[in-house]
Amino acid sequence: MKRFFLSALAMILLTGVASASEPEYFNVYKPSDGMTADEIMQIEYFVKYTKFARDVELNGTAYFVDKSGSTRERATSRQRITLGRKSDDLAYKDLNLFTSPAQVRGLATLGWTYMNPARQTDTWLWVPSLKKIRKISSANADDTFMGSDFTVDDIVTRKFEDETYILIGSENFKGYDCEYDKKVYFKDAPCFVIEAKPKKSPWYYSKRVLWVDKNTGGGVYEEMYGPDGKMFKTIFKDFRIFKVDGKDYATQVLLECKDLRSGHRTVIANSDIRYDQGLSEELFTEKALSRSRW
Amino acid sequence: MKKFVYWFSGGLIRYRFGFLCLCLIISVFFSFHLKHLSFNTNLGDFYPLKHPYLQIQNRLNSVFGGLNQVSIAIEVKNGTILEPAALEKVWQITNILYLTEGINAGRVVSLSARKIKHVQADESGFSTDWLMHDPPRTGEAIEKLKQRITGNPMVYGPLVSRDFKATLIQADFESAVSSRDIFKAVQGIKKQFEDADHVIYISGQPVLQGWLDYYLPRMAGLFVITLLVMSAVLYNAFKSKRGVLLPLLSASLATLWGLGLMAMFGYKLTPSTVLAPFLVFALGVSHSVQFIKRYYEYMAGEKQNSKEAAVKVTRSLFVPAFTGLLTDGIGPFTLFAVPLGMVRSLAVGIGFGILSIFFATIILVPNLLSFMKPPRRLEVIKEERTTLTNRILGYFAGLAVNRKSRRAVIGIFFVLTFIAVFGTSRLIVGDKEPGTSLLYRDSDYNRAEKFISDQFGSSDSYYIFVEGKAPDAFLSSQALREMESLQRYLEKEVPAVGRSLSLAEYIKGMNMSMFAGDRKEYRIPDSDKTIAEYLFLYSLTGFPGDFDPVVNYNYQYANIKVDVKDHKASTINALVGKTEEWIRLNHKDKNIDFYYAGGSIGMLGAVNRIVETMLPVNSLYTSFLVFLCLVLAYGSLVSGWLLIVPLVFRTFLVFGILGFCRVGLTAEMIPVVALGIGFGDDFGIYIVQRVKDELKDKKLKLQDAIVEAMSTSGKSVFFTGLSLTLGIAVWMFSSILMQVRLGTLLAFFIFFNAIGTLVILPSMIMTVKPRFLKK
Repeated sequence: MKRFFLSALAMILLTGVASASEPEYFNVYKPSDGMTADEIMQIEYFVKYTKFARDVELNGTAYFVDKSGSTRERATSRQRITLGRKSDDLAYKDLNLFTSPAQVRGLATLGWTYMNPARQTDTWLWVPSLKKIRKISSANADDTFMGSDFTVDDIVTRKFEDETYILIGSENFKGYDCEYDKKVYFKDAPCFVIEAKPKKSPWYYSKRVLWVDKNTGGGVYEEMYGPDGKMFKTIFKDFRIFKVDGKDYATQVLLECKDLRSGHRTVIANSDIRYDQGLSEELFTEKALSRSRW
Repeated sequence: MKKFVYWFSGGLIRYRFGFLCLCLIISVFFSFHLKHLSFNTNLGDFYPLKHPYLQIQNRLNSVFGGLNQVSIAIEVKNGTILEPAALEKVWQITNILYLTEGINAGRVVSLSARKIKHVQADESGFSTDWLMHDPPRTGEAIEKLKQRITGNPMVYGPLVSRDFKATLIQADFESAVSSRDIFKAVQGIKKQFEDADHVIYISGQPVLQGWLDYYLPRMAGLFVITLLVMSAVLYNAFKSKRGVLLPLLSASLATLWGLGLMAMFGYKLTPSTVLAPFLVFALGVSHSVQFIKRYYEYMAGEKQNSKEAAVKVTRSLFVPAFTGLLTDGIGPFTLFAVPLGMVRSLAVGIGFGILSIFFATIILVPNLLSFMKPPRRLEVIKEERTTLTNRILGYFAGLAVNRKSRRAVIGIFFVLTFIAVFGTSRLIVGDKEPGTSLLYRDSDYNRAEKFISDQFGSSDSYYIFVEGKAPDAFLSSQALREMESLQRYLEKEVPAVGRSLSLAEYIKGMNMSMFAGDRKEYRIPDSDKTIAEYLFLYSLTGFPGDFDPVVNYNYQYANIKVDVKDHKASTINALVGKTEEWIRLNHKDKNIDFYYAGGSIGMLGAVNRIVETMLPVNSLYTSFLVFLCLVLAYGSLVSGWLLIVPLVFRTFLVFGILGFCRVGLTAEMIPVVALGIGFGDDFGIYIVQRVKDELKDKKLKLQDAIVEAMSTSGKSVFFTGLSLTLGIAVWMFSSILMQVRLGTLLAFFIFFNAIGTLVILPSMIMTVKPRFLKK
């Protein structure tokens, strides 16, 4: 019995999972065998929203490819500061600066996301040609994320509390053939297979089936099914481990979303990723937003 | 020629078993091919696809989509659409459409479509939300929705009727989805959501195509009616079984072979080609009538046997039948020059049929007659009995014989033709009825089109394609100002224009939102960079493809959509003229070009242009070829003039009548005239041949020859004309209005020609006294 408790304690320490409560900000967690579907998904969300890092800077390039192969490109420079501050309910703040296409360089958005799941994100828009800041409403969860095939839900608003989860099993992932760079990702990577169903009904999807990488805790691949039971979208995410102060930060470096109905796909490639640079919260204010950097 | 005819008629009967077997083998062969024949409507057949306007439409379709657009309107009988049940239906239908296979989700438009947004602006900023994300259930939520609707000019009017009794849902399908599947899907929606209080109306090109496909197989029923009508005419003419069955059998085989040939060459039965078997059948019967009539005449003599009679019938009728069929074939031949798929495919169908009639009548009828027992005396007497027809024909002959009366006949004919020329000046081109001219005004489809047009003010659409010289051409204030200027110009100058929409409206709307909803700021910003930012912001708020109907992804192509209240030729001409005028006077931006005319207005305009140019050209071309055939067949110029001049005059008379009745000239008139002229001269040919035979064989005087010809061949001509007319007139019972129009006009034209020939030709012959008749 004593040996069992010691083993369990060791496992908790190793993985850092507080199974009974939510994962704590600025810690690193990894899923492991024996966890429940809920525990695995809590880690998946934690990793997805980089709650382990104090701040992050990166450059992102999004490619919009229609079924004929025509491609549009957009580039952003992004900064995020994670706060996890209960006093003013602030979870994190985001700054997105559009750097391409050239005609809109300097257009920027600032977002404040709160810890209370019911509270909407505050978003401000900087329009450089008019030198105006406008507060804009946050989009609906089932709206497009920045004009891509991802929904806002897929990228920023879906929370652990929004779904119920069933652990379908554990398997080696079959691998993902990425159309963007023609590489095969995560072939035979050990994964948990989770079925997630939205609590909201009717909703634009009836269920998601996710493959969560045991090594990183990231949801590397998911299939989304519509209300008619037909699969309509797949999302792939390539996670890489970044070593920061001896800790392993699982980071999304490439995302590919395919809309199976329209044949359209969106690819987001992140580069120049830098964690914990000591970004000041002063950078994430309306005033700072109006200081056009382009 | 004479030698050949003797050789041919002799051989035909000598090897009659061989020819009969050949006909049977051909029939089995084509019966086998019939299984490949299917009904299929292609709306492209009704438009001149190579016309510049259609080319513009194709570019609009390929860049902005919209080829397979359907409109679904919900009307609430008691109450308004601002009630939970109606809003729930809108929401459910929209969601079903999003999940339908092949849907172009970016082009779904409804109160609850993801791309229909409500924008609220104030000093601090603006919020954007779905107009109706979920159906509201409380009174307060419904009131909020009402305010959102009334505050949005792109919704209140275009999507929700002014009295809130109806709302519109629009969807577009990928080009790969068949109209049959789309029709099935939307009819399924109608069935599921229509109830006593909610009526659903559906329109759009794929729906129209679906309705045409639905009506087409009903033509099989009409064919049975044709068969019965023909049987009645034949019985009235011959009062015998062989007089009825033989023409029906030969015409049926000609129809079968014609259809088999169509199937073999991969043609489908479309609303136009489906008419070919009717025409071929009627034409086959009409030619057979001449053979049977002449057969009875020979059998009336003593000691005749069927074999000899068959040889004589072939000898007598080979030249007129061959010439008649040749001139019948001229109509479809000239129709190949008309750049309309429906006309060309109809021409192919009839062409194949005429080829088949040649074998089925000239070979098969004498062949079958040769196997038959001579008719009983009573049968011959019955056939030759004087009837009302004979008496009327005798009267016509009498008019010709008397100098004064024949001059009066010719004089009246010339005066009428002169009046008709005046009538032709009143002809109007194009269809002025609302909805599609292919179906009846009270058809389900046209009622739906009318309802949608009345409630949402979008009867016809006129598109102008605006092309940038390079990507990002529309991130320009000047370009947008020009588009806006053209829109205002058309709205001001053309009374039938309702509203217009282009990228300019979106940019102006965004600018107003940026300035706290100030109406003064509903304008195009001066800075190109601001326009670029606005367009970028729009692209961030919509899924890929949501903005495609307005401007393409790299901002190189845009369009202006103008809603027009009708599609009268004068409206179409005004739109095109004013667009051209504006471009000539005001277009300065070298980075963009304007191309017109797209939309239903452009497509109908292209058809009108074809009718305007092709109708006179094709009529003249057909007349010239018929004239040439007649001259060659009879070796005399006078023969050509004698037959063609009255025919051309009669054509003028028909046009004159149409002009006085203010009947719009539509594309169907082109085949009507070509076929009418081609078929119309058959009657004269048979009479002229008979007069020639009487003069030559019986050495009769001209006036006696005419009286004899009128009582024999004249009677055949009457029944030929009657059978052709009735065979075609059956189309009047079709559910497809285009077929009704074609059938009515062609039947009228042919009957008019037959009667005209019987009245005029004898008088003309007596007046001209042509020498070729005695050769």
